[in-house]
Amino acid sequence: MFVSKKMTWWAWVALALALFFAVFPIFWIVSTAFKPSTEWVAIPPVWISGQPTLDNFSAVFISQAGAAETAATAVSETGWRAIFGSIIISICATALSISVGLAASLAISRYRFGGNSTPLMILSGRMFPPIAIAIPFLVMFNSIGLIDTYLGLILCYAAFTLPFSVWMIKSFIDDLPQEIEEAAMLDGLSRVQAHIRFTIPLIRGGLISTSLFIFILNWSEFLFGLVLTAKDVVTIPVQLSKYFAATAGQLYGVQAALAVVAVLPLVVIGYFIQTHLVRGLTFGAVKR
Amino acid sequence: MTETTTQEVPEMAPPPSGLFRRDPNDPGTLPLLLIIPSQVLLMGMMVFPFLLELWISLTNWQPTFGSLWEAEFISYFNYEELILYEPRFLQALGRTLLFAVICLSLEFLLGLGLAILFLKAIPARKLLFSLLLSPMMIMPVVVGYTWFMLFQTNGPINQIIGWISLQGDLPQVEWFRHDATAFASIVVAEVWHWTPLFFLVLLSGLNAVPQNPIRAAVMLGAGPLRIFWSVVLPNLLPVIIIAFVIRSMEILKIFDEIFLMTRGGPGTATEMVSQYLYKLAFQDFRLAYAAAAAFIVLVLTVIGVNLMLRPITRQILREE
Amino acid sequence: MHNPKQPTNIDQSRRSFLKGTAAALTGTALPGVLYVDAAIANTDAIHHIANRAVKGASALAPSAGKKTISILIPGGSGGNLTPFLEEWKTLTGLAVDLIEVPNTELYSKAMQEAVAKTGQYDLIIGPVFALPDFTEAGLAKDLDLYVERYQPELDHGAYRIPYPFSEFGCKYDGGYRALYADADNWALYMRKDWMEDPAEQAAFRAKYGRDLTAPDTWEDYDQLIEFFTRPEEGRYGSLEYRAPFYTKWQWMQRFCSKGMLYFDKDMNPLCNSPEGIAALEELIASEAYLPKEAFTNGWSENYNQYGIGNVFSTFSWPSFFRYNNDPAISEAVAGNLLSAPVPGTRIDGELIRASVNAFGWLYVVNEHSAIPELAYLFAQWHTAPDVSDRAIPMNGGYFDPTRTNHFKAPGAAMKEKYTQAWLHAAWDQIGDVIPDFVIRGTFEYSEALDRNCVEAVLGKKSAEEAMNDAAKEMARITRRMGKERQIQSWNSLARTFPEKIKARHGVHTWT
Repeated sequence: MFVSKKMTWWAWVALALALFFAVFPIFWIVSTAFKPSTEWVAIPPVWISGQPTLDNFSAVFISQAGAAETAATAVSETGWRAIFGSIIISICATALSISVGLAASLAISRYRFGGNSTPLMILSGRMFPPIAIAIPFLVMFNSIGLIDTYLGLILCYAAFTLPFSVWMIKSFIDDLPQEIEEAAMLDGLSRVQAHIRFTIPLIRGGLISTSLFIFILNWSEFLFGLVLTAKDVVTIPVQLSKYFAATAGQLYGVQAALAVVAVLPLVVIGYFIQTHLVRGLTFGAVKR
Repeated sequence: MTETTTQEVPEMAPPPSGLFRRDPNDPGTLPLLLIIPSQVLLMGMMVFPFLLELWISLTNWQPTFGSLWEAEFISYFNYEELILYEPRFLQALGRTLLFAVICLSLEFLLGLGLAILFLKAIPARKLLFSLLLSPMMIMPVVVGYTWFMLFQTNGPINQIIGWISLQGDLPQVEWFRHDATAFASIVVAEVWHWTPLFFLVLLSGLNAVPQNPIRAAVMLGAGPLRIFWSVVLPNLLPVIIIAFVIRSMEILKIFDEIFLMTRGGPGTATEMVSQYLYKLAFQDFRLAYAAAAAFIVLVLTVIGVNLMLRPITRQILREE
Repeated sequence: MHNPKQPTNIDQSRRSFLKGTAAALTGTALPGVLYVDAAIANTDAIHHIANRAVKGASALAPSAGKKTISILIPGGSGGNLTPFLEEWKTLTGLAVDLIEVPNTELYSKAMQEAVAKTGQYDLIIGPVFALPDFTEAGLAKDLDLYVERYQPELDHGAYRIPYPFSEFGCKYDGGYRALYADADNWALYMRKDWMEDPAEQAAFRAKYGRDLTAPDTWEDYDQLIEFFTRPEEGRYGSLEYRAPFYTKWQWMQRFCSKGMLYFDKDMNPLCNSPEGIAALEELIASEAYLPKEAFTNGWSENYNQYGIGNVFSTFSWPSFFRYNNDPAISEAVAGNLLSAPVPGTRIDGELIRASVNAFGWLYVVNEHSAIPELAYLFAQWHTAPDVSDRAIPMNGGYFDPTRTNHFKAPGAAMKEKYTQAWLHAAWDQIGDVIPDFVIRGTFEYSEALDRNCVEAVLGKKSAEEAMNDAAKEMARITRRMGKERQIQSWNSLARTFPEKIKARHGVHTWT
């Protein structure tokens, strides 16, 4: 390579600065999650609480009805429904987006279906400002009874992430020599069997990293989660914005506690699949 | 293929038709079946709402005037009004573009620097890599709340600045009060959030740069900068373009972070297209006007992305 | 289920009778005693409004297609409601379901319902300024029939909602469209302990040549906040709002107290009049006496920061007093809060004050609800004199005293949370209440005004440029909305301004 492997002093400094910049806000979220309400916005700011508390987490997980009135107990509902909703919706929408995307990428990559314009057209679906379309969506969803249902949000999220899953999966299939499937078919497999037994397992790594990326997008979505729901369905980002109390204002500690719960799994998963991630997000622009 | 395989074929049953046919040159209806689910999903969830939206954009619909079906058809009036008489929209467009250029350049430079750093023998590599990627995993709403807290006048960032400044008594920056600092604060939040993506993509690009030309250049006595400029960078170009395309599509729609940090203020100093659309659609409920604005944004984005993709379309789409 | 209408003069006669008794019983002549009208709390009549609602709901419930009333409420406001849902269920057999949306999204969510017409919410708790939009969008059901049938006694009787709340909080375009639940005009709050400090009093007299007292005029007030601003001690004079969306209310108070209305008869904006520019210049000048945080503080941040105890005064809502006067919430200022009428302007020897009704929540019945009448009856029950007297003082809610009996014959809980002195002062200020932009397109008008105010405060524009720009933008909004219709609704809103202001513009002669 064109740089030496040896760590120089400036490399240490750059690494330290980068780590600080990347980790500090996350540290702040985690630290806030353990702060009692008086330290949420204290002057001067409290870095690590002297009296760490689990109150914020119990506000997220345990019903506060009947608890003594403190800022953290002002929340009217536990986070369980939001966590459940987010998990169901994100997993189903990701699975739908990936499987539909996989099928479409096969058609595009292996059979050149629709020529060159199809991928670009699909991609343009991601370019429409969602804020402007949210209310027409509401009108449409209402007329087909999809408002405030898990199915509604799943379909909506799957559609809005489809452009990315098509583009990413397509890049992995493109990288796979077509001869592999041809050989399989010569061995007596049907076309479908060849795809199932060879194509899909061979792009497994790519599917994993694409799934994580799509999952993050679904997991984070706020606007449609707010507009297309009413009382039955709620997602974590929407629940976060409800943590507000007449007496205490923004419940920063409770928000932070739920945010920690929401983010931690992703960071851990990211750690375990990082070899796939490194390869996964290039849309086929890396030449093999 | 070996002789034996080709000889075995005639011994098998005649190829079934349709899906299970084995003729490698004729996929039959399979491609169609594969593409249908995506088309149905896109048709229902995108094409239909887009058409509805397109029609709305040609009316004067606003719920306080009556229902959608009573709205008056006013043809391209909304578009004309927006382009010719609504400086605030054009300013928001320009501002969004500026924001995108600043943020993406910073993200690119920082991401590239980090990626190069990771070519070295980094200790605890796997852990540090994960930590550096983690901002990307955090939902925009949380990013907004967090940076809002960090940038408070009495918040930790001013505290840190106070420690660093030698006098120790510099006036505290009121980040959200001044145009430049408010803009800077959202740039910082965005750069923090998405530099990891550039880092990730560029690192995989760097790892795939062919080694032979580099070795040759080293033998010819070229310095590292020269090698980077004439060998590495050209090889990285497709990856760079892809990273810019993915991020520019998303950054033009940035909303949650700014909504929670500056609300587009002070005045309209950090009002991006999405903030302006939010005002039109979710406060003023001028839904037709918002629809027209959104289509203008869509057209500009499509043109922009296609221009950016042009140099690598051939490679990405595997055109012959 | 139809009770005879209360005779309107019963209030008058009973009150004069009781004044005598009360004075005779206590033998003292404190103003508070004369003002208190305990009789209206101690008769059966206080229960009639709630009883009519319960009776009506019980009669309708068995045949209702839906046994649950769903209410869209702003996040953090459940405290006034949750303790009463069980009681309502026992009385009528009907369940109530509360659906929270983030505070800032309520207007938008309700307007989305106007577009989508799902009927998922039977009742909506919305802000006062949204009532015209809700009505024009076909969301707020016309309540005339129900009001006639169930007699909530909104604008008459001993328990009436005092004028002008009964007008802009309940009616639009001449018809009943809402049940007002939360009178929300601003008062001036100051630190009593700072004012009563003899050293401060002497220093103030030495500097300004007058006593340290609650201000009558804006000049008095500006002196007070100047006097108490001591950045070196971390003390500031005021926590006026300078955040987007809130700043316009500060301007409105100063502007209208100069005897001004937002628009003239033909809805031409008056904000760029000399009075409007002067009001904005005063806001700019008072910046010097505000801590930095004022620039981003919304209402809850403001409540909390004042509670820390380093600021002399602020303008705020009734709930501000109630929360910050609670030692459990604010140790520093509880018991040391003085409420006073907002300062005014002396014009031609007359002192004009303008206390802005910023926000204020009301019940709207969803036009698309399957059970509008039951929804209405729940709202009538919950805002009835006796029930609301218990509901308002609950913790964790947004509602504040609204009906006459809350002020004049408060129950024990109400008296404890708001104090007799505050209720008295609040009642006396109702005559000075000015409405917000309670007209169609409220967000567009307020945003145009507010943004220009903020930009002038930040020094991006001169006050004159800012007000000219605001006037231009508002005129453009009116033109687009349809001038005739807007003039009509402005004319009826203008009538709810205080007499002293109306008289200067001859509002009575507007057609």
